[in-house]
This record gives sequence, C-alpha cells and structure tokens, in this order.
Amino acid sequence: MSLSAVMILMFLGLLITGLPIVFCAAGTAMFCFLYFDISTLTTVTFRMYGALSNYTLVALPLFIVLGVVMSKGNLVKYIFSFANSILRNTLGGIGVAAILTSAIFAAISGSSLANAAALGMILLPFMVKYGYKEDFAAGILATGGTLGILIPPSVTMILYGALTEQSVGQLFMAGMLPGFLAIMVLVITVIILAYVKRDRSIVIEKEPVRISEIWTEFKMAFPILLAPIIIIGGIYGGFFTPDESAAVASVYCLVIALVLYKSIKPKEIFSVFREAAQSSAMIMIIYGGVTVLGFVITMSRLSNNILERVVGMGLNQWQFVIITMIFLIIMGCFLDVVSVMLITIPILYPIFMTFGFNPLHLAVIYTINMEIGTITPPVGMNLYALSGSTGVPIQSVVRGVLPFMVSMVIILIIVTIWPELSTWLPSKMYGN
Amino acid sequence: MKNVKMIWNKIESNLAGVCIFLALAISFTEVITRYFFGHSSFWAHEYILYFVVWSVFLGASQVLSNDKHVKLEIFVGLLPQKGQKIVGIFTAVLVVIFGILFLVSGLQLVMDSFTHNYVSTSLAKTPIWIPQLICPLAGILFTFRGLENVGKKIKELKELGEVTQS
Repeated sequence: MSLSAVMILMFLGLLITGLPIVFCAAGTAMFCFLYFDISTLTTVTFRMYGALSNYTLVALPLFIVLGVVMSKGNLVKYIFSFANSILRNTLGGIGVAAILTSAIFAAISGSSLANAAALGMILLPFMVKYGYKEDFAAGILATGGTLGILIPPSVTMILYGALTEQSVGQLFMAGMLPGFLAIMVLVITVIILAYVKRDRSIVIEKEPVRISEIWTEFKMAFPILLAPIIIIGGIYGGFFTPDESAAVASVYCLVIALVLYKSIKPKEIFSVFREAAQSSAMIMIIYGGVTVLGFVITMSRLSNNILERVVGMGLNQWQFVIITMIFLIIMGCFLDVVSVMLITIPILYPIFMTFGFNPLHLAVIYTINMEIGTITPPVGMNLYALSGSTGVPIQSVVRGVLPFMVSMVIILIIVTIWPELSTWLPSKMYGN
Repeated sequence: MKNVKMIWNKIESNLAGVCIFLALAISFTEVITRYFFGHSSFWAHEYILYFVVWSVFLGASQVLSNDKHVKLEIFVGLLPQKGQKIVGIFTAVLVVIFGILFLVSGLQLVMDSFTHNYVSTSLAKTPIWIPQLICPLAGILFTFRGLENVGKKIKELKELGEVTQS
C-alpha cells in the first residue's frame, strides 16, 4: 500500500475509535515515519515543538485569556443593556441587540465557543422573559456566537496564519467587511423571523426610548466598548503586534472587571489563567499534532495527487470550491471546526493556490464554512455550548438555528463570489 | 496514591496557568517599557514562546486527565455501553504507547541539542535543550494520564458488569 493510503486509513481508523485527534494525527505520523522509514522518531517532537514555537501562535492563548475574562466578568451584559436600551421597543429589537452584542463580544474575544456560551448564559433568560420562544432565542444566540471567529480578533485566523505563513494582521482585516456583512444579514434574519412569525408572545415595551436611559447604559458599557478599539486600533495604528494587543486588552479588561464592575474577585484571577491554559492547550496541541502529520502529507504528495485527479476530471476552480465547501460542511457535522481546518488546510491549501485563489479570500471562505460547521447538527460545538450553558434542550437549539443556517449559506455564497469583500480592505491598508 | 494524584493535578494546572500568566505579563511589560522608557528586551519574544509551549503541553496533560480532548465520539456512541468501555480502554492504551514513544523521541531531541550545544538564535543564546525538556516531560505526563484513563475505564467496565448482574 502507498504512503498516502496507509496514512489516510490509519488516521481515519484511529479517529473512529474516539482517540483524541492530536494522538490520531501524531500517532499516524509516528507510524508512517517508522514503517516507511521516511524519518526518525525524533522528528515527531522536533516538528511538534517547532510548530508550537511559532510566534504567530502566541496571540492565540492571550486572546483566549481575554475571552475568559469577558465570560467570567459577565461583561457582556453591559453591552447588551446598552444595545437593548436603544432597540427595546421594536419587534425583534432584543434579538437584534443580542446579535450586536455578539458582534462586539466577537470584536474582543476570538473564540466562537466562548462567545456562544457566555452570551447564552446571560442573554437567554432575559429574552425568554420578554416572550421569545426558547428555540428562537437559542437560534439567535448560537448563530451570533459564530461571529467570534470571523470578526477580528479570531482564533481561526491566527491558526490559518500560522499554517499558511500569512500575516495575522492582514487576515484580521480580511474578516472585517465579511464580518459586517454577516452582522447585517443576521440582523435582517432576526427582524424577518420576528415579523413573519408574528410571534405574539414577544413583549414589546410600550414605554418610549429615553435619551437619559441610553446615556446611562452607554456610560456603563463605555469602558468595555474601548476594548475592541484598543485591539483593532492598536494593531492597525501600528502600536502593537496582535499578541501585544491581546495582552494589553486582557490586562485592561481584567482591571475594569476587578475595579470598576467588581465582577471578578481578586482570588478568582488565577483561575482565569488556569482556564485559559486548558482552553488554549486543547486547540494548540491539535495544531502541533497536525503539523507532524502535515510533514507526512507533504512526503506522500497527497495534495498533488488530488490536484491531478481534479484536473483530470475536468473540474474548474469554482466546481472544486463548491465540492470542497460541501465536504467541509459535512466534516463540520462530525468534527469541531478547528480540527477540520487544521486537518484539511495542509492538503487543500496548495490546491487552492494552484487554482489562483487569494490566500486572504480563502481564509474568509474557510472561516465562514467553519462558522456554519459550528451550528451544524449533530456535532456543531456552538449548539452544545449553548445548550450546556443555558439548559435548553439540544433539539430546541437545533430547531432555532435552522433558519439562520440558510442566512449563513447566503453569506458564504456572497463572500465566495466577491473576493473583493475580503481582499479590498487589507490591500488598502497594507498595499498589494 | 490519590493524594499524590491530587497534588500533581494542582501543580500541573497551576504551572500551566503560571506559564500563560508569565507570557501575558512579559508581553504587556514589553509594550509599557517600549512606549514609556524606549526600551525593548532582547529576550522577551523568546521567553514568551517558551512559556506558551510549556503551557500547551502541561495544559494538554490536564485536558487528557479531564477527558476533554477533541475527538470523534459519534461512532463509538453507537456501540452498546460495554463496547464503548472496551474501546475506551483500547484508546487509553494507545495513548500510553504514544506517551512512551513521545518520551523516547523527546529524550533523543534533548540529548541531540545538549550534545551539539545548540543555543537559541537570539542574543539570549539560551541552551535549547532546557526549554525542550518539556518534550520528554510531556511524554511522561501523557503516559501517566493514559495509564490513569486505562484504570478509570477498567473500573467503569467492572461497575457496568456488576450493575448488569444485579
């Protein structure tokens, strides 16, 4: 059997036994090294250690610290109260406020999972109190949570940057306009659903919106709203690198949560770092394992073989894109998004590049695909994060998410057809 | 034995947290010293990386102990309870084997760096074998966590047998 065949069969064989992905990947590589005598055992730790010593990745655990501070400090509720004070007496207003809160949370935290769990815990009871059916509210929050990996900063973009040697700053910028587009489409979806369903149970406050109330809520939310400005302004103003911006924003949010909002107690500070260490290890160790497997993938010429087959079948780049997207969404049904990305990028990236794709455009397409994956049953992680943090049965979350999946597919199609949405802003800021 | 495990769990999770804290603290201090004192440390980036890599391996061992690593559970979930436990023992044994091979690989890496006197390319000229020590250490941790999981799964299988019998 060829190297490619043994590698694929062994990896899939281990995967279905429920062995953690990192061991499936690194274990398969280890076996291939020894069985085919293509490298030594030392290569495993050498490659894994080398992959994790990539400075691009430093931003990842630091943004995860920021996400943990946001969740533990309940900072989301101040943003939501502000958004809701403006929108509360419109039909679907609370739902729109929830999407906008997700977007702002996404502009601070880089993780979709943290986003969905934190928002669900705080906002769902509020939405239910105002007459939102559980499935509708859960659908809004689970989908809103996905914005976390598209709107900068984004954990997915950092990993993509590390894997493909692209600038994280440019990747963050590439996600900006598609991020705005996603917010717009999701807001429109919430409004349409609220109107079409004519959900009579939704309570709309009759009391008119008061400027004084908005001002009070704004003053409360203002210190948190500064965090995205520190991150984005810091990176693109040339003040910080992405990892430094995460460090500065983490310290800033920790201080305001401790001193201003008093939502984190001093004795809880260290648990933030412990939690962040575990969450980032879960992601980064897979990166390490997959990088070792990536070495075998390169040796096996798997990408070239797939490309030859694709060309042999007479497929053009768009047909290849459509097939890949369907394949990625199906994979996303069974595996979490980070793993799907880490496993497929080393194989598919060279093929996409041969077809002349822009790496930034590809990153955004991939990320939106991953977003859809996070809300696709049966494995979609956001569905479980939301169900776990709110107690809403998983079936209700799935029911609520279905209409939003249609919106996400529309976003994916728009962003795929118009590469400029992803490439225009980075090219303006960084030049071609 | 239980006490040793508890103490080690505490040390491990705290050490992983300390590493992340130090990475963040150095990164933050770098920004402050650069803007307020016009000074940058030549060692900062290098040591941030070491702390991040150490936190990843220590954190991964913790995650292994809590059985929270990302995996494909859907197919194993289709098996009857007993089958699930047996497959669980099998995967835990695979982790033990992986841990041992990782330990050997890590030791070879460290010995190689040590004997060739490899140092980092930065001005700090850190002997590379020191931060690389995390590799054999991770091998040991994975092996023990794997053994711990084998024990857990065997116990669960036995309990399941007792429940079925009664």
